Amino acid sequence: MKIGPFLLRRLFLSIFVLIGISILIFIIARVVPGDPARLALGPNAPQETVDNLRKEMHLDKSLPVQYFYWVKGVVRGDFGKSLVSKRDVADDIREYLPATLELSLFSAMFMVVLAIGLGVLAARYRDSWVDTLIRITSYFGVAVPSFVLATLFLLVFGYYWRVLPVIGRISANIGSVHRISGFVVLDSLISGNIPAFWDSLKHLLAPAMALALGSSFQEARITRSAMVDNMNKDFLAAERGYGIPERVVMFKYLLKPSFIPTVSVMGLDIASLVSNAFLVELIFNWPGLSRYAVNAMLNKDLNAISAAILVFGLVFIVVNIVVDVIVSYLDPRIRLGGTKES
Amino acid sequence: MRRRCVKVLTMMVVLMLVAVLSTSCSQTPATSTVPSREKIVRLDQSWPCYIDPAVGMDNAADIAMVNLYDTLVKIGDDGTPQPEAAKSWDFDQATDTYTFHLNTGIKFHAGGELAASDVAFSLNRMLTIGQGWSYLFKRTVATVKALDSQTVQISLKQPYGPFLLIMPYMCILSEKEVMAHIITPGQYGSFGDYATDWLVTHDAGSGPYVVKEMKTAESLTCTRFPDYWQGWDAAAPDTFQELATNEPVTVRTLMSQQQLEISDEWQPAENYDAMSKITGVEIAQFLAGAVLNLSFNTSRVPLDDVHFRRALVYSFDYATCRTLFPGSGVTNGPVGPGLPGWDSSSPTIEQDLEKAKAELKLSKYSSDPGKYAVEFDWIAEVPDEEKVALLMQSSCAQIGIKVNVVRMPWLTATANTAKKSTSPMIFTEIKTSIAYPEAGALLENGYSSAGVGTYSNPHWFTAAVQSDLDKKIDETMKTMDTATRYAKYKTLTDTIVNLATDITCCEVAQRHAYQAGYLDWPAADRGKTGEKVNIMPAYRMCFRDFRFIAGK
Repeated sequence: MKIGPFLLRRLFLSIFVLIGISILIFIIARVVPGDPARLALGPNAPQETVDNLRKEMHLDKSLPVQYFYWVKGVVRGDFGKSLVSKRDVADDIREYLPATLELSLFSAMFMVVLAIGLGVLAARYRDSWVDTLIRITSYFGVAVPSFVLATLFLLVFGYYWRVLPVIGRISANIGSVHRISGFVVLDSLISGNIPAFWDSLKHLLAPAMALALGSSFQEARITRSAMVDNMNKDFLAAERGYGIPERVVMFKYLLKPSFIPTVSVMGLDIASLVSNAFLVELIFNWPGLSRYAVNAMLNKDLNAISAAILVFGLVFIVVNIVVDVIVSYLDPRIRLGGTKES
Repeated sequence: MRRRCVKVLTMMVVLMLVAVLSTSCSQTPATSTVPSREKIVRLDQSWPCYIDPAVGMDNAADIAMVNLYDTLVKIGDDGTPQPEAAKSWDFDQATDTYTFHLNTGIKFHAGGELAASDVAFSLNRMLTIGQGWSYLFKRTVATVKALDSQTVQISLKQPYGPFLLIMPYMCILSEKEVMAHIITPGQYGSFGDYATDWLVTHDAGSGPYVVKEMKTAESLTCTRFPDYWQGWDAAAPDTFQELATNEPVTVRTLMSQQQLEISDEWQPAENYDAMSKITGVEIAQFLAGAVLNLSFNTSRVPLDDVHFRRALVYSFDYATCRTLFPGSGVTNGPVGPGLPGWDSSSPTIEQDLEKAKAELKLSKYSSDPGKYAVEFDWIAEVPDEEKVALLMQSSCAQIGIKVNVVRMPWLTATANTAKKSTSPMIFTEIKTSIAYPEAGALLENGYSSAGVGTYSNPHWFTAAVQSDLDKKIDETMKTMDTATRYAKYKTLTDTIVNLATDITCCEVAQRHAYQAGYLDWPAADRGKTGEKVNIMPAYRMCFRDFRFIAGK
């Protein structure tokens, strides 16, 4: 399989996926009950003001015409104005998306490290007390929703133990960091603001752990199962026969083929972090896109809903492409099989 | 080589985590006494917070605006209009015209002095944009003009008794500053967008505080304006910050860490109990006319029968309902006792099952009342309303009326109020946002035809009833003499009570947890001693009047 043509093909198909998503969410947002103009302006706003806003949002036109106006704007990078924030939706996304991406990336790092670490441990010491302990912890981690974990961490690390901050991305006494990428950790490092760097890392710890834990345990179990399945394969017996240390066998030769199913699930989990972080963002007052999107839905902020869902869809597409590339790297059969065909 | 790199990388990650945690552990615990405490008042509020005076109208916005802007008139603790930017005013009854005489020396944050032209500009801007509290002025104000630099004249469309009481919503913006930030082309012609974009994150005011930073999804931070015309006390807060969170666990944690000075008023009772146990934290409570109202859709069977409605009114268990809302008070009608214009002579309404049964016998549905189920829609975002719904269900069951309890999202409930056929049979609302400190605010908004088709007036009266109410409301609101207007409020209230249009369950206390250990909050102190507190929630949060207790 050649990466170049594969990526081009996937990107081309993604355009149709995004168009489909936009049409679906456009229709759904508009058929849900509620008058967005009246909701935004309140019950006492004069009818004239409400009618003007409806006209401005093209709500007096038919659905296809409304969609045409929306697409015309999107192509120019104009997602319209948000009824909730009263700003351009593009400005909102520019502000909130990096916050959610930063949180999701940090959670993803936790997820990968924890999933691999626990999965390998459980496989290595299978059927022992280590394996049993990890399995029991996994059931707990999978069963408990992320917002419950968020509340737990906030109470443990913020209320009783008081080692971590509980709201926002950076402490007020540190002040704002000069915005370069929108990722506060990265921006503080680039601008040499080390106190801000450490402070922003501290702010990330609790919410990232809360988001990552549930999925980590699930993936740890998948990793363990796959490793146990592959453990008695002939090629491993051959490597042990050559005297290769068990640690190397586990991490280098066994983990790679066993990790393929985990990568696929992990990809979906990481992509869904971006959209499912709402409750964690709410509890930690994290100014992320997920919370923005849910508020938009609760207030029937049509422009914001459409834009946010498009962004989530794009994230899923990109992550799935990355996952496919990683899987093809892990499994040479896919790479070589594709090359043979071409 | 690769193995070594992986080892090194792993050790680096572990060391980083340890460093992060250890720097957190080594910090001085928040509760230790700080020799010089930062004078910042932090409060949490429901978001979003619109700081543009022509747009914002929720609690967070009102609190911001009262601290960022000056107005011609403010509301005193006794509920009467007091001079602020205007030192005095005259009213010409013949022409329904107010003439305001301004104070001099009021400086804007961006420079320049407040003049009558700024007042005229601000009011015209509000009328043009038409959002937020603008509706109060759109229905009353005919013209506004600056007669000279210190005199501004506002002509009304018709007499309006509470006009001075709505003036606190007319914040004065610097015309020069606003015009310097307009974006053209815009929907307001030569005024472009009227700087609505810029005012999302900035202010153009002259108030005691100025916007330092507005993070639209996180917080609003404002700092002291040193040149404020009314001066400063050294112990007053230097900064205030509104935080965009009201999650109970987050609020409680911040309170315990002394990273929050005042909580919002929407916390569950259990959280107030928990916070009251934190050292130095007390619960401030205000009875300021907010009521819990169950409004009947009088067009739907069986609520189209006044006797059936009265049966519901008398069957409701008001005493138990008050226990669901700690600190709440009794009511005798749609107006809470805290509001000026409330009539104390009307009897309070309590549960009376015998009266309820007697009324039911007079109703046209008396033969089989259980056949006509009443649907109680409680708002999903306010869990306490479910308790009220279940209470009503059990109360009505005692007289043979069936009540179905239905959970409904706010979006759906408000959309349904747009039509008679879909409007909820019982619409629940805790009316805390009062337009002005007088009984008329609840009566005018809740019962006039201007609110029909919205959740303001979900009653769907018959044409005759609505017309009669409109006539009474119009006549009352045109009355300039306060005592006469209050008497007319009584007549109006008696009419509404007689029509049994609602169950007004209780006057809901607005409660806040606050750091009494080191913060002196004047409104809370007045509440403790039983003195009158300001009816308007935002005026209880004039941070310039707060004091940090020395040595704490």
